[in-house]
Amino acid sequence: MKRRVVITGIGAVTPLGIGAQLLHDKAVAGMSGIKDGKGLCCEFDGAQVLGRRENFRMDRFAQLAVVAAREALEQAGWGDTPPVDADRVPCIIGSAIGGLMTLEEEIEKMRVDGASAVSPLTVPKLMANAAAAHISMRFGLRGETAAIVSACSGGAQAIVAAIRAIRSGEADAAVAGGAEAATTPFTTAIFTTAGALSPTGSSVPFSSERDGFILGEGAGVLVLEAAEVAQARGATILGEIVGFGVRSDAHHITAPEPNGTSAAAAVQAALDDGGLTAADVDYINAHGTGTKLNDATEIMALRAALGQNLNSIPLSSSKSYLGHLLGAAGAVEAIATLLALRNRQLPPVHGLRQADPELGELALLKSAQPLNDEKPLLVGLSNSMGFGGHNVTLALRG
Amino acid sequence: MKDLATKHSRDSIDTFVRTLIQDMGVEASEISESANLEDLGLDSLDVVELSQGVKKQLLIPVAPGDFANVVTIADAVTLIAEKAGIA
Repeated sequence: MKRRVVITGIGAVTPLGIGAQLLHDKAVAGMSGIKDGKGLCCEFDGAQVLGRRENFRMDRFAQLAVVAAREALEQAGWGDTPPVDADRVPCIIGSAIGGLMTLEEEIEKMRVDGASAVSPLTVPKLMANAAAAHISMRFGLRGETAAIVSACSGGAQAIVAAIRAIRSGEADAAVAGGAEAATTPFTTAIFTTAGALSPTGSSVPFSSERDGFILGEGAGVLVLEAAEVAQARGATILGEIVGFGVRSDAHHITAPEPNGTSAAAAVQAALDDGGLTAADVDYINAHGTGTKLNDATEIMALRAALGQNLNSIPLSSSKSYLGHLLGAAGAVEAIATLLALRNRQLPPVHGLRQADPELGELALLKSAQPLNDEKPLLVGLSNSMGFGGHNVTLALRG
Repeated sequence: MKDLATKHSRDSIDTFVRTLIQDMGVEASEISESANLEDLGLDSLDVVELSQGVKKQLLIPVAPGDFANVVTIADAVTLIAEKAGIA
């Protein structure tokens, strides 16, 4: 019998604003955080929300993570220290790149002013584990602290790592998520030359005209607890992560495996792990980047795993209104999925008018849709795929 | 050295150090001559930043190692003034 892992807190900083519920409310209201072809957290000022001292010592990606964590921990009713043995609380935060803005600034300093001008804070700011380390320091989490670095599936794999720690009995609770702030002219140039970024800046996932993804920044953090631990302390349970599947393409460093075999295996593994069948799935929050190849492969994979059921399962992509949050995407989208289930209101594929007919029959959401169902709890899948061939599916109930 | 000594004064260095420490996020109200750097939450990495700022912006030849015995703001100002050739 697996130990059940429940969600007791969520926090998000996204291009739609600061706050998880805000992310949901604005998404279902048909709003988008994408401006001028980028998904930036325009409302976020690190110095203002964290204080000037913290702002000075942290890269933006870590600041976003700490603020998301603060919201999640507050909701979970945790104080400055966890309500369980702190040694049994890991903190795992995914990031594709880490503190890229810091890296770029300091390399420029070295170029202009020489080696002796490079800040000694460079490494503590840019290292990919800085977000997890700062959360651990601030909230007294003394279990394992680490970053999962697996490109755009890092946030999802961080959640998986936390679930494993709780299920194995090594941890009683965990703080997990993802953070990214790597939307710079440099990454824009890289993804443009790679042909992955939308040249129009108006790409819509799953549409006929999709021409690439849109870069975004943000963070999402979840508080996970063993069900019996959360129940014993009388915590409000927001939902449950009932299953996960993680598989690798073993194919190409950037291109998805053409048949989506491994991505399909991840979906199937998540269903099996959660004791679910395709018929149980009420909503799919797809990876849905908006590149030709990703969306086609992802649908192929979903079809292979879910069969005819896929035709009628409501499907959308948070990237249509946030952009691609890279290592934060998996965590933010798991939160978006949970909120969709809890609120019984599904966010749309923002801007979708004409779905790509080559994707076959799908229940793509062109506008927000209520989810009316007699079932007391609903099931959602959240997909993540990363450069390197990483495929992750989380199955949530809420 | 002579140029530096005429260009700077103990007061101007003091003002610069306070501004730099404020830029590191320390509240102005906490900063006084006798304030202990450690008590202000500044660690060895911040002291390197301080040294770099003095060297780059005031052009006074200090190195992080020079700050080894610096405890208070006044100590830092004295050290920097000495390096600028101000008696």
